[in-house]
Amino acid sequence: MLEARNVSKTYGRTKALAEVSLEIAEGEIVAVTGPSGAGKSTLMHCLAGVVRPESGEVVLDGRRIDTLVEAELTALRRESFGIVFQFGELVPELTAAENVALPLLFNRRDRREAMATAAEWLARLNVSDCADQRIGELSGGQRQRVAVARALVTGPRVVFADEPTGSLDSTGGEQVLRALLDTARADRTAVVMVTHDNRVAAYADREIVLRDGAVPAGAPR
Amino acid sequence: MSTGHVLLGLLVERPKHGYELKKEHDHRLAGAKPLPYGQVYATLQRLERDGFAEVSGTRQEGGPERTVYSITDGGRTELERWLNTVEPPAPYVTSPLFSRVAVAGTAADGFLMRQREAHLARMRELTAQKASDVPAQVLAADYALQHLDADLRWIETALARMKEDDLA
Amino acid sequence: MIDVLRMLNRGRSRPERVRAWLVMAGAGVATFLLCTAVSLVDVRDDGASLTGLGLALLALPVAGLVHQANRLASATRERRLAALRLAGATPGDVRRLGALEGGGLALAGSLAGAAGYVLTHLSGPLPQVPVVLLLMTAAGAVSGLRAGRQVIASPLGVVRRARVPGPRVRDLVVAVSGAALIAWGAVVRAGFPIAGPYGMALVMTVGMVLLLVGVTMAATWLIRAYAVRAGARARSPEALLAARLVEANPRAWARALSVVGLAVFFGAASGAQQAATGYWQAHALVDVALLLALVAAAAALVVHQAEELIDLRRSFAALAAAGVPERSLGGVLVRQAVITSLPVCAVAAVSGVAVVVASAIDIYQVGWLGWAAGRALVMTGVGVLTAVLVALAARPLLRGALRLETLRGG
Repeated sequence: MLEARNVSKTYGRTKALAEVSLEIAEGEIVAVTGPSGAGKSTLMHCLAGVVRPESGEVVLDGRRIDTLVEAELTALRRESFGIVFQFGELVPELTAAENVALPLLFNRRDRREAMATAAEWLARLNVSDCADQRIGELSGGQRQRVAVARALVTGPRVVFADEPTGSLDSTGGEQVLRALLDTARADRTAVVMVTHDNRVAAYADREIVLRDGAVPAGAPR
Repeated sequence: MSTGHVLLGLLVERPKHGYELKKEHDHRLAGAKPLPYGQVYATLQRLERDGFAEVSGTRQEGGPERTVYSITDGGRTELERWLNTVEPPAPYVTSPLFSRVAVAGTAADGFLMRQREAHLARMRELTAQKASDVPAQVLAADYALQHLDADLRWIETALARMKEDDLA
Repeated sequence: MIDVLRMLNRGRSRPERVRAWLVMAGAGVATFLLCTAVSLVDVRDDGASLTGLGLALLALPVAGLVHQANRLASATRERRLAALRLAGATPGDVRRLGALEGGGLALAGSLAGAAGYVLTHLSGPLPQVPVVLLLMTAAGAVSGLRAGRQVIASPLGVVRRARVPGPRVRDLVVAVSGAALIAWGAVVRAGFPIAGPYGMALVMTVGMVLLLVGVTMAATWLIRAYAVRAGARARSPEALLAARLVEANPRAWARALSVVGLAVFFGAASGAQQAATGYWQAHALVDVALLLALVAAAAALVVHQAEELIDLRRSFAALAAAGVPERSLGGVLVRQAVITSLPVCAVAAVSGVAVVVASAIDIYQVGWLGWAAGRALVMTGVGVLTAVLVALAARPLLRGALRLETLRGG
């Protein structure tokens, strides 16, 4: 469904990605691992259409997305992808429910309807109590759950997660991870998670190892 | 003699017969190798010989008649001593994984990649087991996962060091 | 202490050097304007006095700009001060350092400004020059002292966006005492007990500063109340975001908009007066001063906008990555400008007209109200437009803030 074909990307003089190819099937949960500086985040950003590769193609459902004009690409990210950032990156001035409703509002849905959907998602992720609290009042785990709800609320085809447990202690991190993956599995949403933690990678159906911007020979892809 | 100590620990709650002890051992130590039935009786006899346990009667529940064992005061003292003994922190590196790499040197590269795969596959299984939410199983899976993770991280370091040596 | 300051100065970053130049330039211009304003005050000539008032008015936004500039690159400064605290500096040391730096810059700038005034006004009057110099230096020291106050409280206190304290009664007291000083100066005029007309000008200037500060702080209430309302009614995500962002930090907006509000207030007041009586020439000068004040106000708003974008960049970059178009985020900035400037300008315009009409209620004719209302409306529009234009001009800054690198490496 989502495919990278010989994708390369350079930042300054460092080659972040060199001819990386891979394919992700519908509803599949994939972990991208490797030592820091291996190009994990760059690969995720290329797949998510946040960064354009210098060469190679990124294809979603048979359609090349790396050549789309910025407006189309932005709309595609909004409608087909969800992103969970390492530190949540929620808007601190909004309440938890408003943060979750935000992507729906940007899809021009009615405010009342968007807030109702947001409430459902918060309930699904067990953080209904936090709905009317500002982000600053939430614990790290609650924040990450709200971030997961925000990424899933539009019903995306793929959710990208950058070190989804990065800022959490171990058991809290596991709970968030399971919440993300269980919901994604139930909705047949594909998940691409970037992580340096093998125990997080073990939650995936499949692992893609990156080393120095490439999938090393003999490694699974 | 740690199997004996585990059995003593299980006997503290109440007197039990051999089959009961085997079942509880396998349940509580979910990730460990299951205890062979024969070893249960051999261990119990040794405990009896050392004065840590004694036969306190027989019980029949539908099946054959079973001998019930209970813990003695000496057994309690011994259990207490064992529980409070600090485990010596791995004085020697003993792992087939380590030995193989130490012998193969830089040639272990391909092997390590395959070993990584195997480790991760096992970690995936263990992670799936954790979904059961049975506390003993989760505890055992966590233990195994963290040890496998340590292996994996060592493999990563080993690969990186080999690359450095290649460049040097 | 001076040695430490010198050591720190050698290691300054580019934005910090920009801040130093801005503070010095601002202090210089403000000094020049204030000295000139005082020289124009003439009890026998209301026209010249009005012009002087206009110039003094112009000095205020410039001084405000100095204060804004002192907050530039505050993140760098806070990190530096925190490091000093951890290295064993006492709160007193840090406070002194801040005051020395701010005061030093202001002194250097206003010396240049004073020199400019003296050279152009060799025939005098000169007695106000040392007073203005002293005032500017003191103001610079206070501003520098306040800039490091979060770090003084806790060495690790790199400020998180804490809840902004609400408006306080103190603000109203400041505003009222300012108004009282102005009224005193206006009523007593030439018969002023200390230093005659100069004393009066000084008292009125101090009164104006107090009034401005008090009213600015009181505007925090107004802005927050309006933002809460706007947030509850918002239909678009842009409006919702804008309202909530303002609601979380109305004080910074009140500060940035104070000069806009002041310009609108005086614009509306002078409009109401124009409808009644002459002084066309003086009024024209005041209008020019107002226009320049708006330019200075815009500069203060730009500084504020830049500061705000630094705060927002992580959440905005995340939104952009999640597919929110840059256009929408730009829309948030514009809506913020409207949500904050509309209530401030409207209230300022209405009170500007009200002050004039109330002071001349016995002679004011209903027919003049049309012109006065028209001027008030125009001034409100101009004020809001200024804020909106600044928000539109901030687009390149926004684009820079949305770069994904923002989110890398935590």
